[in-house]
Amino acid sequence: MSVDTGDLGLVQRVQKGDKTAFDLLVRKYQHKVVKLVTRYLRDPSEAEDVAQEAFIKAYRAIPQFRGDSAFYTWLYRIAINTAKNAIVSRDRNPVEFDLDMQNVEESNSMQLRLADSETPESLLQTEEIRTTVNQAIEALPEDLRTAIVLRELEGLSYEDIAQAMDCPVGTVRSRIFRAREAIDRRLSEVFEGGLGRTEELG
Amino acid sequence: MSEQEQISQLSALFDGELPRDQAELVIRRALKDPALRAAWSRYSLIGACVRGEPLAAALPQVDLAARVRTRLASEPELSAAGKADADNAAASANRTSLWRRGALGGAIAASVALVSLVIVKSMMPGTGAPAELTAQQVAPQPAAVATVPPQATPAPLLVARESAPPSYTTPVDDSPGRRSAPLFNYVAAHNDVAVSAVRLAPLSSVMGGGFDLTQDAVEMSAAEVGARR
Repeated sequence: MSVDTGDLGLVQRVQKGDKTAFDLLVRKYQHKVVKLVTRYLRDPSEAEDVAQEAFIKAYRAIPQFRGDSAFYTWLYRIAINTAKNAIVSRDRNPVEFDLDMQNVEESNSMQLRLADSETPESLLQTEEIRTTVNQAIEALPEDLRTAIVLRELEGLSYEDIAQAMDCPVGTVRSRIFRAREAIDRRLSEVFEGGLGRTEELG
Repeated sequence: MSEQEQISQLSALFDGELPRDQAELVIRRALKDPALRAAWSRYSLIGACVRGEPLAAALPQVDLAARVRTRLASEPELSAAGKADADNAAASANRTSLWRRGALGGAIAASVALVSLVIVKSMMPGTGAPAELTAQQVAPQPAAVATVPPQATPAPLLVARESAPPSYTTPVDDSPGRRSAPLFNYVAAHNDVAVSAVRLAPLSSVMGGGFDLTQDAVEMSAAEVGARR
């Protein structure tokens, strides 16, 4: 497997103390990590909390990351261990309902987050994003659609895609970029200001 | 470089397909430009859609990345934290090493005590060879041996005393003519040695229940010796 120069460059910057570089890694892998921990923790809100904790642990441990494996492989192990520890901790400390006053505020905050991630509005938004992206992919020219699907769904490298599509690597790079731009335009039409509203998407 | 070309490079960087020298340049640019970081987030979202991953993390009301950023803001500088981790790892390794040295010392002490006991025993009149003695006394009680916790197995002395106290302190032939005052003296002295060895052995503190079992066996042996006297 070829080295992911993007991840490696970001990791090296984080190791030098650049927290913004770690933010890019979080943005890139947040969905994968949430999906991963959801296998262990059914509750979406709890999965998000555990994913957050996994990222924090990864940040603290990143000085020890030497690049022997891909960054996501390393992060994957941290996320799984964090999820397993959360299960053990939860089983050891079951939720008690006779909360004292000190815990009330924290409990309310937790319930608020629960509500946030499971409201009909959230479900509608995520469903709308999914539908828009799927429709945008269907509307792509076949060469762009094949390139983006082979990349995102199958996880193939540009070189592998180039072999599969019998074209130069540069063409693959261009097709994937154009596919992403086309999908993003459709998303922008659906959500005022575009899906990538800088501050709202973090 | 045009904005379109910058975005194109960002797309390749996202896929890890940009040459290292170019990657460094694009990373520097992305770290300074919020629009490029937003595009980076959109690429992540599109990929998550294609793969059927949960999307809620990117919704404004959840915003997992922002939550992580907030937490990281209170984290110490990474270089200091990394050093602390390394120090903790070294301290942990030292603790493990000390424990291992203590355990090794205990095992050596127990072995020396056992060998000394066997030598003393073989020099006593009226007793058989150590190997014969062990076979004679331990073999008839396999069930009792099996009840000893696994932690106690490194010290055969404890097994023998717990499993077969009567036969250990008494000759098989129990006729009055075979009783030997030196043997009883030896048994009484051995009880003291055995208890001291167990108390002094560092491993005895971590062998749950082992000490109590031995203590019971010693008490039984002492009582039996007294009765036989």
